[in-house]
Amino acid sequence: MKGSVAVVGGGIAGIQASLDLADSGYKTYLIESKPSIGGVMSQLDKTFPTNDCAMCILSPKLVETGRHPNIELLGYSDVKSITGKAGDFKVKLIKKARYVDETKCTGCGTCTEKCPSKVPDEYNAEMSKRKSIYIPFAQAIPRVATIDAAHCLYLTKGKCGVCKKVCGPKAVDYEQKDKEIELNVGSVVLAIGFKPFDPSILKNYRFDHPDVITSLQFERLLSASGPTQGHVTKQSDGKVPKNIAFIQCIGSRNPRINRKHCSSVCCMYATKESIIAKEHDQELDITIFHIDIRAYGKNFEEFYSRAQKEYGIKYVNSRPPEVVVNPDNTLSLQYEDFTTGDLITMNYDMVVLSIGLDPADSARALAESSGILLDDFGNIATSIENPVETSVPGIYICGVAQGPKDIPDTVAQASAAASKAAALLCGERGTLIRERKFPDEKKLSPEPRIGVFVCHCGINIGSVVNVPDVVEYAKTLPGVTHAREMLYACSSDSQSTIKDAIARNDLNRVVVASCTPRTHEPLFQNTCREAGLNPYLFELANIREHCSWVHMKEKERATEKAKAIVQMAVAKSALFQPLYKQKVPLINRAIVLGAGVAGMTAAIDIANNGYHVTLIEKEKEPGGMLRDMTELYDGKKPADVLRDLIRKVSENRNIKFLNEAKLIKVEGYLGNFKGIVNNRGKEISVDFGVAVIATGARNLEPSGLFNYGKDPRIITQAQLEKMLGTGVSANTITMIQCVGARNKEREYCGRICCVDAVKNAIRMKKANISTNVYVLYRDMRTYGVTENLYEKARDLGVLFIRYDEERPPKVQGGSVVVHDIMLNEDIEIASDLVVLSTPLVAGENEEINQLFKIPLDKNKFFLEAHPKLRPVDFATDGVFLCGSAQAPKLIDEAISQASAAASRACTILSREFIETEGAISIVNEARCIGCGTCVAVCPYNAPSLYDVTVKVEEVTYSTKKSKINPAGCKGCGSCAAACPAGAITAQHFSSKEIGEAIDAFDKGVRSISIEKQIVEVMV
Amino acid sequence: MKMETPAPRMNGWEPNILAFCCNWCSYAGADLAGVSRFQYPPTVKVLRVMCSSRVEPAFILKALKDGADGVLVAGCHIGDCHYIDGNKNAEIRINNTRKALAKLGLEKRLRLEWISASEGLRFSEVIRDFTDEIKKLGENPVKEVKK
Amino acid sequence: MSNVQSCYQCGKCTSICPMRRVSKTSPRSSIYNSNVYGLETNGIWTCLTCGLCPMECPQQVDFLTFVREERQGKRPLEVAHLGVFTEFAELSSKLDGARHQKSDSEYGYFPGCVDQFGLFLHDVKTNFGEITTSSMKLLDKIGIKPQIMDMKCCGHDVLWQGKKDVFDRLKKYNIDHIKESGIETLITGCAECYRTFSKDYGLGIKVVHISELLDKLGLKINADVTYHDPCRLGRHMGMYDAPRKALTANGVTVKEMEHSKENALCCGVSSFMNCNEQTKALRIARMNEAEATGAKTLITTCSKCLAHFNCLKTEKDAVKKYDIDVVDLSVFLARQLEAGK
Repeated sequence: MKGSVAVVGGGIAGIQASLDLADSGYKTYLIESKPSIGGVMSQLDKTFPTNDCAMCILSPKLVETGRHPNIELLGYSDVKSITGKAGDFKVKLIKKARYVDETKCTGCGTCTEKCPSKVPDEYNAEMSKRKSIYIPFAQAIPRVATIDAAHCLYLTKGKCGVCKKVCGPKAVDYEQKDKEIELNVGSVVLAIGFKPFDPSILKNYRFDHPDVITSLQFERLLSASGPTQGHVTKQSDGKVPKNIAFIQCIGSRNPRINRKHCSSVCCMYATKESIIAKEHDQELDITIFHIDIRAYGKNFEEFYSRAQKEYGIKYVNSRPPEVVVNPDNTLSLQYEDFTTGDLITMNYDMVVLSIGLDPADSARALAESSGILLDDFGNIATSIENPVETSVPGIYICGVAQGPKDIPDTVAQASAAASKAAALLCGERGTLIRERKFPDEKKLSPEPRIGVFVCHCGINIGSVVNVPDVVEYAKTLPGVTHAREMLYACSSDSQSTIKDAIARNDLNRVVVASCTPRTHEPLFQNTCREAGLNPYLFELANIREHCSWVHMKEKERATEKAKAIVQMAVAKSALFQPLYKQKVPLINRAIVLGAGVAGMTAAIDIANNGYHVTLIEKEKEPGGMLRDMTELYDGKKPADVLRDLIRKVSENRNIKFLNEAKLIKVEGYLGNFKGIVNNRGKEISVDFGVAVIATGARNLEPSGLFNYGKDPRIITQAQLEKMLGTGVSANTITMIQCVGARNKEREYCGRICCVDAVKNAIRMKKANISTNVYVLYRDMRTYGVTENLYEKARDLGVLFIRYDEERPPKVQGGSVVVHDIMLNEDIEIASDLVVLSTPLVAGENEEINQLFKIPLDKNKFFLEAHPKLRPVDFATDGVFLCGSAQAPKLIDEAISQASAAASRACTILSREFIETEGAISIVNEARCIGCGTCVAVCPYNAPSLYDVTVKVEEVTYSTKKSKINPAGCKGCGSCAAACPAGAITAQHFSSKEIGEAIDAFDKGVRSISIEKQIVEVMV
Repeated sequence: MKMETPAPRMNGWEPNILAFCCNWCSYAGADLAGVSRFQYPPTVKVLRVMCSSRVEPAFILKALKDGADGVLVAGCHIGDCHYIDGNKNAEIRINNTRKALAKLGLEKRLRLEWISASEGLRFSEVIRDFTDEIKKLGENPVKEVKK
Repeated sequence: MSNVQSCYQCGKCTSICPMRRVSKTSPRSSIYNSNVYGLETNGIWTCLTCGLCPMECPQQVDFLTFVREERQGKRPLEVAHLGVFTEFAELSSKLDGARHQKSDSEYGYFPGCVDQFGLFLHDVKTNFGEITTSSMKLLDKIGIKPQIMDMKCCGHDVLWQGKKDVFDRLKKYNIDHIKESGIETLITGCAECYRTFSKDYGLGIKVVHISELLDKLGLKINADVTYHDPCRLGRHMGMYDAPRKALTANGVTVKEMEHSKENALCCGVSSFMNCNEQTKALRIARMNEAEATGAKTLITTCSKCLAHFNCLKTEKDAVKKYDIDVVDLSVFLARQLEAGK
């Protein structure tokens, strides 16, 4: 067994899996074939359904991955083969030549600027040009240049060589060769993603026309960092389009070209792109041509509804067969209006093809080289009960490579795959990682002795800002005892120079004037630590991104501004104090609430990772909703799955199962919770470090709807499911979808009801092919690979009739009258059984949300920390979420989420202690008046009020006071800005530190008084 | 030890704007403006805070008192806040501060903007626009007072 | 100049100092250190300037003036509300301010800083602006239609925080503004403004606290209240009877607290300084006294006392819930006036 894992693919799935594994103590190799990690998500403008800026949420993850001590990033590398067995795999890969030495390149970008060769930019979906030596996008990690060997003038023709000439750190190396590397790892996680469907295969959609673009191209047009800075313009003439048509299912739901699957995300991204385009230009007319709108996820239906009502986006249920290019080169679409039967021809300025997700090319290659089985769709094959396990033990899979899915489902699977790999190797945890050792911190002299290092960044800063002038100015600033210039402050020789200067000049504060702290602060902080300085005594003055690069033509004023920036940094740094990440001990045990499929899976995964779990179930029997199910959608028997799970729970010595039990009290915080469980009237105390909420949901009882409860022939889908266990005989059965869902009272889509209905329709037909089965629906939402069930049902003769929300079916005894919107006629179906498909609704979540102070959404399901990137986390650290308690989901999705929650939990349980943030807020107890303002503003429940008896001289009184839990504080500083008594200090961003910087910002208006600072030190 | 730093005066007055940018979105947006080389006038100096909700109204008043011609507070778009809803707290505080400044006729010198990490161009546009507005308003009317 | 040199170190001041109950504050020691060694003590900053000790001092040492002079040009130990009100006053002191204009009325009404309170103290759930609207209603009722004076902050807080330069600038502007307006009487609803305009300005016109005008409203209010004497209106200005009369003349029964008038306890925070666990003890003591009267309403005439008592009342998850409304005098009367309509 090896305590290391290879993660193949550096998109959001690979990033999440790597971070989870690395955080849990496994050496992780992240292998990405492109020059930078980030995947397709890095190209997105926004993410549905919240329209969060994609790069804003992704970029911190990129940076974290790039700097994680346990992650070795192997960028620009292709995996050739995976051999061996669980615990001992050999991964062969080719590290492609970048022709740039990664250890020397500082990412300054000078080469890119000077390179004369322009080629289409993949990042902008080939709608703009990049250079032959390039960094793919601004936030790329690793931030090093790569030479595109196919286009480089020097490498192709032996001419040019400009990049090598201008490269200051001498990183360009035309002689570099591809390198074969073999890794020996314990497990492999595949996160190889997908390939966007190439619409040129479908010639009738005229992708050759410049104004017919893919949805990914449209995404880039919307992006502020895209080829048109976010202005949607036609590629043909640069004009602003007045109307746009989206055509859905391009490369999806099309068996004719061997794309049987639904791509799961296109309906929502088309909606999102339409909304953003409308936000840019309200006059824009947008029509989305679709088959069904599959708004099945959490808050998707609400998003879809807003798109129509608030943004006026038109949805047309009809699929134009082709894009017609008119003689004047304009575009038109012809389609059938289902309500009138008319054929309508419309001109559009732009047509967006909503392209589907194809399996990545590397899926087939890896399958062949490494013996991993694929499914019918070309995805890596898995099963419902083991959704992240490939056919090869020890190799796990996550993300779209397993089947089309959106970002949260991808992220959940990534964590799930990490959980499985970690469990496999749990005996080897921590064996291959090493902690960086730093010398002891030196004693600080009381007065500030500030060193200022001003970087030329080759010519990036130096050609605009007069660096020597800034250095001379810095020397005059109070507290500065050493100032010098550097060619590249971030190069390794400069690090030695800085360390040397700290020692020689007894510096106790360091200011580097160079680039952005967002990428370079950790580097210089480590340099300080190596020189015995606390990392919080360092400050970056950003004179590149915020100065030389944006004031290129105003050299003198840029120099003056650079001086001011340095002065602010110096003034602030003089007040810096050493800060330490506190180490808080933790309890390496978990509790899981709810012993349904999700809860049991989470408990088993945590236990298999080597930690003790208390599994708490309020019912007598475990199993939850699975107990009432009689068949899974792949035909398996739920009872078998359940029996297997119960066996694993009972056999695992790490799991303590408490039935008829309820958690009634919780106090504490991440790593240190104390709970009380009522177990059949007896109170048991349980201490735990993390909790997983898996309390599930329940089926809606549709009282009052469609005469439910008034006639025994009218039943729910859940009841039919149960009845099918013993067999149901009926000549005619009619199912009605969206009962009690997608309406005013309950806006959300039930997600799984279509799959359940289709599954049971197939079962009815299989039992007796002559049974008439009708499904009355609004949109069939058999997303992803479950589309094949829908197809199979139709093949078996199940009849699907679409109804309109405004004219729902009427049920009277066995008679169902539906208004068929295609025929525009009322149809009566005499039925032996009328089956109402109702959604899952939230269970008794209000009790738990009070216990842990975790939020609920408007439908009373639990609200995750972030709908995209933290789908199983809560904003409150140490509490995780999985299964239908978050929102309705299919069993395989619940299982993935459960493993994901386990993985997230294990990233905490695997620690020896909880390390807090360094720059957190602290309460001065004597000043705190216990008003609770901080408690009200903190989103993380970090401050809490505790009872205290205050004795001030002669007076004693009881009051509350606030304490900030260092393990909960994220350092935003909001509480410090709200505290009326000034009792809270946001360390490193204190009022005094910021105040000094404000004083210094308008240099010359006020000089910095150093006496004041000395007074501070003495107090 | 008291340092008197000579003020290098430039010919003609140019606005002097202090910008509080949150670490996660607007500071990153300013970085992207740099990476993309979107040019804007050198009238702004950025002070990084972790969240726009860190900005105390007193910081803004202090900056104006010290002679800043304008103060920009920039955070993540509503819904995008790295700290869930810190920017909503910021919005309340900044709007209240603006109302207080209205009494002094300085309300146009305070701006609150949401700038995402991908809006480099927008950052440069905001600075250009704010600079133009400050130019129209003229120099901060605070009198320099001898201490 | 204070007459601090006449102190003979009897220590009576320290014995009665409310801050001494909750801290090491010693007026005597502050005088001694300053007189003998020229040393600054924390005591000059923790002093509430409540004005209790000068009333008892056998040598009639003017401790308030002493403290104010000692504080000049130094940096306060603790300023509450993150210094926002001080910054605002300083900023406004450096600006030209509203144009001076002639008043149509012989009366001027100055609302004080209630607008800023409303903006920066929104957590204490008090409608400070209602003090102004209430005052206008009441004045209207008794036939006074004053000019609302668009002045700068009176400078009370900065003066007591040791920023005399800022105070002088505010004062100069305000004096000019009042002169130019031509008003003969300046009415204010704020105890601090009243003290400052009366004692620290030398205006040469009549300065009136609104409570002096409210006994003729002719209201018939059937209510029991208790009244808290703000330091500035009470001991600083000796105005104890006017606010009480404004209540009793309108039918209200005033139930006195254990300490009242000259002996009234301070709300704990003056000039927005020293909001901490020590001064909270004073606030609790005062609220307990108010509660003990059995009255359901606590009336005061200082917007800071109002804010501080309401802060205690609106504590999240408070140890003790006070079932007593804290209301400004004008607001109380105006609400009754409205209710009676």
